[in-house]
Amino acid sequence: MMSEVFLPALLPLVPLALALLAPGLVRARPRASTALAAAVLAAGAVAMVARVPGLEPLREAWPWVPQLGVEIALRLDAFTAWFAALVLGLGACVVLHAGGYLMHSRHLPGVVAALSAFTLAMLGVILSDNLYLLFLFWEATSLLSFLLVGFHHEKEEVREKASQALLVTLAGGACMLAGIVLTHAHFGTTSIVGLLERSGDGSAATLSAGALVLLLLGALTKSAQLPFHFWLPNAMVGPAPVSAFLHSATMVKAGVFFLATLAPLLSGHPLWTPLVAGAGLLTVATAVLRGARESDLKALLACTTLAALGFLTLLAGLGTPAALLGFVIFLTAHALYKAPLFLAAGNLEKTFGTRRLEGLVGAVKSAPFTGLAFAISGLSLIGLAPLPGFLGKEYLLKATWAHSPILAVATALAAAGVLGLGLKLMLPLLDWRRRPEPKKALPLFMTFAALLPALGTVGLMISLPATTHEFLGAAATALGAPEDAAYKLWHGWTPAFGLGMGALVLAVVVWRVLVRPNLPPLPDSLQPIFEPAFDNLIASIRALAAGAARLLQGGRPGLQIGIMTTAIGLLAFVGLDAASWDFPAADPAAGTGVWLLLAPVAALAAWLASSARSTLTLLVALGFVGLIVALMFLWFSAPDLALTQLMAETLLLFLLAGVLKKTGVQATASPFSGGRALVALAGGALVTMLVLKAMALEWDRPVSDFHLTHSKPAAYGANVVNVILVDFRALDTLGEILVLAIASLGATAALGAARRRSALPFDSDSAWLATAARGLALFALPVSLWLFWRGHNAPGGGFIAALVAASALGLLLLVRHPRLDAKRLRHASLRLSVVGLLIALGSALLPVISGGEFFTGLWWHSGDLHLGTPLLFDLGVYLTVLGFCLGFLRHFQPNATQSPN
Amino acid sequence: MTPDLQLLLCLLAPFLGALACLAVGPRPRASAALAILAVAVSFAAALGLVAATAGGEAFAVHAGGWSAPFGIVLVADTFSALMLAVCQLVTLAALVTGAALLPARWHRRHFFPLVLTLSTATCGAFLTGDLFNLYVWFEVLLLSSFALMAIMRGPGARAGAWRYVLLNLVSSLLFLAAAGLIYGKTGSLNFADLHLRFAGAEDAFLVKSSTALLFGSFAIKSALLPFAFWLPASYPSLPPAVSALFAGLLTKVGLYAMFRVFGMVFATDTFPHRDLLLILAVVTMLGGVLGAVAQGGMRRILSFHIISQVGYMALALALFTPLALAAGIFYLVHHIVVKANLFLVAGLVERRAGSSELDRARGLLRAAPWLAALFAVPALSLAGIPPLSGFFAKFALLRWSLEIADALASTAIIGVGLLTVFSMLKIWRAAFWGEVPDGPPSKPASPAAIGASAALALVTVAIGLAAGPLFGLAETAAEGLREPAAYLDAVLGAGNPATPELEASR
Amino acid sequence: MPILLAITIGLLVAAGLYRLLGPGRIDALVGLILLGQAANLVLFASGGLRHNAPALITEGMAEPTDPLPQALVLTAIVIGFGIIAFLLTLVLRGTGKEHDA
Repeated sequence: MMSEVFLPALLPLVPLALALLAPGLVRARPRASTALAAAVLAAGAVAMVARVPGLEPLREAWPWVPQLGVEIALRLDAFTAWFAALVLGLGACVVLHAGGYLMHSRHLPGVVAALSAFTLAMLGVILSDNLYLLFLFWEATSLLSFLLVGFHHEKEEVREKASQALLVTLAGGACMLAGIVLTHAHFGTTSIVGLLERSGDGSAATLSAGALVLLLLGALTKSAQLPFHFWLPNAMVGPAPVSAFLHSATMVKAGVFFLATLAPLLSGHPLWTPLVAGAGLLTVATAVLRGARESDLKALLACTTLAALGFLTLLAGLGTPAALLGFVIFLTAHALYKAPLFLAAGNLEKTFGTRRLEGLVGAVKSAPFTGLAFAISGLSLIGLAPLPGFLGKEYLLKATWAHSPILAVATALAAAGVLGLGLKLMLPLLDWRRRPEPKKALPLFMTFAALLPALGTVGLMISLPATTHEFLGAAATALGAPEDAAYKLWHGWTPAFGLGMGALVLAVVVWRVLVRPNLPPLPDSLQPIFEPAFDNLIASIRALAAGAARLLQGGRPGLQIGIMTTAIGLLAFVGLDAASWDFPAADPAAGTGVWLLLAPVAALAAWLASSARSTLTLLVALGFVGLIVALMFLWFSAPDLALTQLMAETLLLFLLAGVLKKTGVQATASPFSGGRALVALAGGALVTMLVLKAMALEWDRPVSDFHLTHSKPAAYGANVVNVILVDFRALDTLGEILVLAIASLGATAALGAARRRSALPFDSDSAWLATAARGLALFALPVSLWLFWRGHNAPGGGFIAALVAASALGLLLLVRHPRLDAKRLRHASLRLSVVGLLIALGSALLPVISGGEFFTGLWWHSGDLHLGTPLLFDLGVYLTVLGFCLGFLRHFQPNATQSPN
Repeated sequence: MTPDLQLLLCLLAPFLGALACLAVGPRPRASAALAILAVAVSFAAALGLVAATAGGEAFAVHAGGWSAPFGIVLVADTFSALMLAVCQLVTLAALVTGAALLPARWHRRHFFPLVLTLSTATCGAFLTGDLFNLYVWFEVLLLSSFALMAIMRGPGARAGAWRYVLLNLVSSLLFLAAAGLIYGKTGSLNFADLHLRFAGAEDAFLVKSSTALLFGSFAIKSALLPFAFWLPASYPSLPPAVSALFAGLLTKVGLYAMFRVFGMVFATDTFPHRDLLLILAVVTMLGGVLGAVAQGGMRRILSFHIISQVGYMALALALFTPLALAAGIFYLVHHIVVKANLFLVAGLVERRAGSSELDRARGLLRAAPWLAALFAVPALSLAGIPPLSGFFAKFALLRWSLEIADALASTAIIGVGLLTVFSMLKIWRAAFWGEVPDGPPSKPASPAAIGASAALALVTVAIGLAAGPLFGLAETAAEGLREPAAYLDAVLGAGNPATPELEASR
Repeated sequence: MPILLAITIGLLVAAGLYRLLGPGRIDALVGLILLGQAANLVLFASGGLRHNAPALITEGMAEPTDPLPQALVLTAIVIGFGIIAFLLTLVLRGTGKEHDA
């Protein structure tokens, strides 16, 4: 069972269940239900915070997919508990705010559910102690933020931006998975605790650069670092509470959280600090450049988020204990001021109907409580002592100075830019000279929701001196800061303090520049290139895809078959080692006489068939080919095959003639095509070679030797071919008659019952023809039975016998025997097939009932007479084949061209 | 019930069901009930087989009582039992949906018997231990599926069906010729026997060229590029219930044959044409998903996804480490359920929105949130989002390909996964987001069809949650392919190789 | 005469392929028929060929021919026959002469 310390992390399940199971309730009582949800989340936050002091790191694990190293492992230490509390607390504010922001929306339950699930996923990221499990929650945050950002999905722009965010973060996630796999392989563990134990033993330095880069791609896309930063400002198309949550404690924070967590280990890699810290610093610079040109409140806020993330990334990139100390306070301060800023921005937008800074001049005065939240948070953003933002900035500069003074100066310059952005954001709203008219009254608890985290900022500020050791300090230590870490406001006259002061002064200058109304456009070299690059990538994927689809869909069947056969032919040819050429030994018994005659005929027939220009030529050529094949079978001692081939070929030609006549399709050959001919000749040559090679082999034939020796004594049949068909390999035959049954069934299914029949052009009064046909039929039926009976011991058998019977019936059909109307034929065909299959199956199942194996022959002997289930099976074959033939004959009365429609 | 009887029941229940459906004639309700009963029985038997083979056991039924390799054997090992169970499950879902959603014309036109013969053929293909018998079941499968396609109307649909059968007949001919050449080389057709005979065969030229034909045949069946032309031509025009059935079964039978024949029968340390398979697999993954990206209709996107996913499974075979094979088998199981379900959901979308073309369907998220959820589960699973079944399938594959440092395969796995998301996103954006359309749904929802789809979605979730045990099963199945001792024992008797028996019979 | 048989098979394959690659449905059908016969012959030839060998088992017979490929070919012929017959109906339908009930 899960220990109770993790239970607060499951609390978001309560609002999730509420929203999913009782959406009606949420819609009917939006305030009460969101207040309830917020209270539950807040309780979780309190429970988590309460655990922080003196928390010993603990870990619990349950197996999931041990083969892949996936387990459900959770960990809790002072830092993760602190961060979890932040997430839960801000989640409470955000849900509360959403209850007001979307009070009249039908879709409030969905948003509450998604926000709760989002909280849950973020807690999963924080508390997982298995990298794969972390990845699971990581992807969940991507998807849920997609849904939340895309809330207003009626607008194309929203769909576009939400999709962009999803694609960027999922792409990063996929890379990260590969990175995790490689990390797993390198360190032999997926547990974060286990990984961190390896810190400092030098094993990180040998991790492959590829693995590191893949991991970083995941983290940097998630936390919107250069060059993947563009999705974050775009994602503000989501509703205000969503933006607040995304920017403060979740989503983007997952990326920096991941970086900071692994920093103690991976900062041992030579590439870590240059890559991560570099990305962080460049992101700040980009954010400042971009923010300088924004006058939309939310967009400006998004830029400050980018900058803050850049600083956090920078700290994680340094990875020193001092940097991690700064990381915790910076993270906390940022979460606490960014959430109210966004919530307040949402409130102001609702109140004044605009997000433009010009329209909001003096807004604080008109909306005092929201304004208060805005002011406190803004001042923390600017880093005024003694607000937490100030501490964050101080420790940031301290850590960078310890690493390298040059870096510290660069950081201070960047910080000056960000502070300038903060001033640009703050000052117009605080303008006391003007007072815009509110357009709309705001629900009280939206104001309250925005104020709450701002009060958290104040609370932190007040309580920090007394509690720094137990709470924030403990959290920092757990992350990797020095033992007994604590935060102090005053360190004396340190370089960091000086840099901070300098930055603040510089910020005022920056602000003076920034508020100038007409800022010159960016020089070309600084124009953003990453988002267009992403768009170009998408566009080229689309173009590539269109090409691929044309290749796969276009083209006529002949071309496609040509491609296929060429590919396979090449493969077979390569496999066929043509150099080791072996001629088959000539069989002296085979004789040559007939062959000298047959071969040219075969060649002629084949050529004719390939190029026949008229139906008649084609039919004759095909007939010849069939005949020659039958003769070959006969020549090489296969009388059963010869018979079957003859019968089948005849019927097939009959049907073909029928179709050609009935449809009026002329079997004209298309114009000669060299390509086709080439493929055809190559194929022919290849098969010739294959056959020659196959025949040159010496082989033993254990299986057919067994058939030959056992056919007579064990299966009571002298005709081995037939015994194989109905006994040794009866299962093949069962499948074969099933094919026939399906073919006739399918033809009925495709063509329908064909109710109307055209009149036969034959004069049915032609008495002599009818008589002759009847006579032939009367003769053929006994022959058919005789062939069937002798099949086990002499050429014949169910299939051949049935074809003979079918041709007799076909003759009767030709003369329009009165009892052979279409409907009756159809029913007879179906019944014969079903009964035949049943008999065949029954003969196979009888032995099972008596305890034997499936298809085992049960025999009854009387002298030379052997009756057994294989014979019964053959009867099944006979009936099915007969049914099949009847079914087709009715479709192909060859002379129905004068059909009335 | 003994495993032998379960094996027979699995194969024969749909067969008998088909005959019963034909016997009751044109009564759709009775036919539907019989068909569902038959497949359910077969499904239950398959589950029994899975339980019986879970420890790596194999069971063989020697048809006619003739000892192998002289007769035909039906063999159930872990791999085939798994495939049977999951295919029968999907067939069941498709039948239920088909009974509920297909127009009466289909029911009149032998829909149920044909689905049952299709199911029989699937079972036969999974169970048979004989090369030529496999050919026969392939033909039954081909003809059953083609007969179902032939019920469609409209010139486009018919042209697609024609292309389907034409290209697949080429596959049949190749199979036939290959079976002949292989028989000529070895004198045997029995898988177990062939495995023993091939294990020592060094004079590989005929092996290579005859298996090249076999390779081509299976590649067409399983829709690897450049042999997949039949698939996008035929699947999209089918009614969703039917394409769900086909998507779940047809290419997977081809892949099963590939795994069985190349992964076991002709496999030693490697198998013929393995390198080529690796390349084709990557090309297939990429080509399929690019094709999907370009489409503007849900059915077409889903059809192209099949191709791309087939590439993943072929890749697993081509990597050919025991664990990659296990990943491939896991992938097969997952994919059959998910793919079939996606087509079923496409059917529900059409019912609700009147069309599944992306420029016509819209706003379904708000209009029918349950439908969005039903779509999201299999779609996310197919794209490989954790913790759904598809994630573990892809992840396992990625892990083993990275383990052997196959950069090409790993890049393809990741890249194609992202493109799959991209194309799924296209469906989501167009059909599920956007303004809610005015007016009521075009047709009332069908509880049976929704239930079938929801059941498959639950299975997808369950596969993900129970990935541990299931992966263990897949490992057992892969082990059974790589080291088929149990299989050989079951087929040839404990004293294999088969030669002593032959001596005795002389 | 295996060489002549092999050449005959090759000719059938060439003729069949040429037809199969052609544009019309009848082309495809004829191609399939020819290729089917070629495939059957490949299967048949794989068992080794014997002229005038006994087809039936009798006492004291000469060495018989290999029966297994024959049985397989017989199965293949029947299956091919069934499939081609079915395809023919579809050609019939393609021209709309039959009634869709």
